[in-house]
Amino acid sequence: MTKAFYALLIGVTLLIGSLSFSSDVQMMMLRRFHWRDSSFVRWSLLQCVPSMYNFGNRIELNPGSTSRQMNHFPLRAITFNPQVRQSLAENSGHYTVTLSSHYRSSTLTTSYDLESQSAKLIFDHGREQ
Amino acid sequence: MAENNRFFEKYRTASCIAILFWLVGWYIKLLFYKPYLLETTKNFPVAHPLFPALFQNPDVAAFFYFLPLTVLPLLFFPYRFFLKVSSVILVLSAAVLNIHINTCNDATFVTSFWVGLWLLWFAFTRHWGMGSFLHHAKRLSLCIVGMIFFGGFVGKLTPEYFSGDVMFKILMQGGEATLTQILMVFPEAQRPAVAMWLSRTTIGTEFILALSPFFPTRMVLIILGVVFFGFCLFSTWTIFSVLACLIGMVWASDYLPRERL
Repeated sequence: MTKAFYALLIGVTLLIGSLSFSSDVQMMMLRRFHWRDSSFVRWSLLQCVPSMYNFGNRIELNPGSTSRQMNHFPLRAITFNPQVRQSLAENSGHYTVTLSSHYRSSTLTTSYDLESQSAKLIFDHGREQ
Repeated sequence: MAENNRFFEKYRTASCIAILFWLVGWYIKLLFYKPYLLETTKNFPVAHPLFPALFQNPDVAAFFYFLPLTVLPLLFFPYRFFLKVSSVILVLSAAVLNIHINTCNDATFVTSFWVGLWLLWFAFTRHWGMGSFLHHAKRLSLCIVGMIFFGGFVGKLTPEYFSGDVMFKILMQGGEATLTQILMVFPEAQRPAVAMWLSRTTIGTEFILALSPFFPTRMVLIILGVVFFGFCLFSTWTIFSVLACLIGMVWASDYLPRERL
């Protein structure tokens, strides 16, 4: 049990370290921030990797708002903000959400269609640009 | 026998310290989370194709947010059996909220998850009561702190953070209220440079804490305390939700005797 714990900590540390030079790891972590992973299991495992204030992240909501810089997980500007969430849910309509995250040589831009209907916010699968 | 009793006494107190700090950090944003989880997320649900239905259900997030309250009795009856049950509850709660659509973007649940794993090890390890237990309890706690801040450090090794560009934009939006006010004290032309040094100071502090496994527990405890008070002074006290469990874990491991009594 103790060795497994050390191994887990070393494994996560190596994964974090590889972020600085591996473009594959960079894209994997950027997709995690955009909720764009094709596997929920893999995304869940990556959620254990600490990532406070990682990358340069922006979110843009159209119509209705200007672009905002976010410290991490750019969609939190909508989902984790009670005022924004309530305001969007109460105004039925169609929105476009564009996320952009940049780390060293890797950039990920994702565009989501967001439907607000019956006080519920529904994201589509999103598209990488 | 007296030595054994002293060991058990220290072990129980250390358990209480770790769990108390874990709970304080978890619930310090209660004024935000209570209406958010009990009203906002139920009245205005969000759906995203990545998440299975279970992890989009607002009741699941609310249940696992309040579940850790059940470990409160441990603080009054700190026996190993209760610690085992409590550590399972804490890890499970943090794991679920880490991957729930309504809570997955809060770093509170990442640090709580790792400290929960440490508590799980603390309660179940077969090294328990041996000299190696004390060594590994301290070493593992420092490795966890190091790994967590290494994550913050590496994610900022990008020109936007070195130049202060990201920090400047976040502060100009008023994202960190007190720091934004401090920035506004400076002439407009100097603000980008101030943001750059704030950004580099953050990166440097995270680098130092990433080296925690090479420092004594007491020193890491002091650095964490300084970082926390720095945040309180210049940014926000709610950072305690992320740091409290780490401080409690390092304090608990520091409280344990150096050798088997």
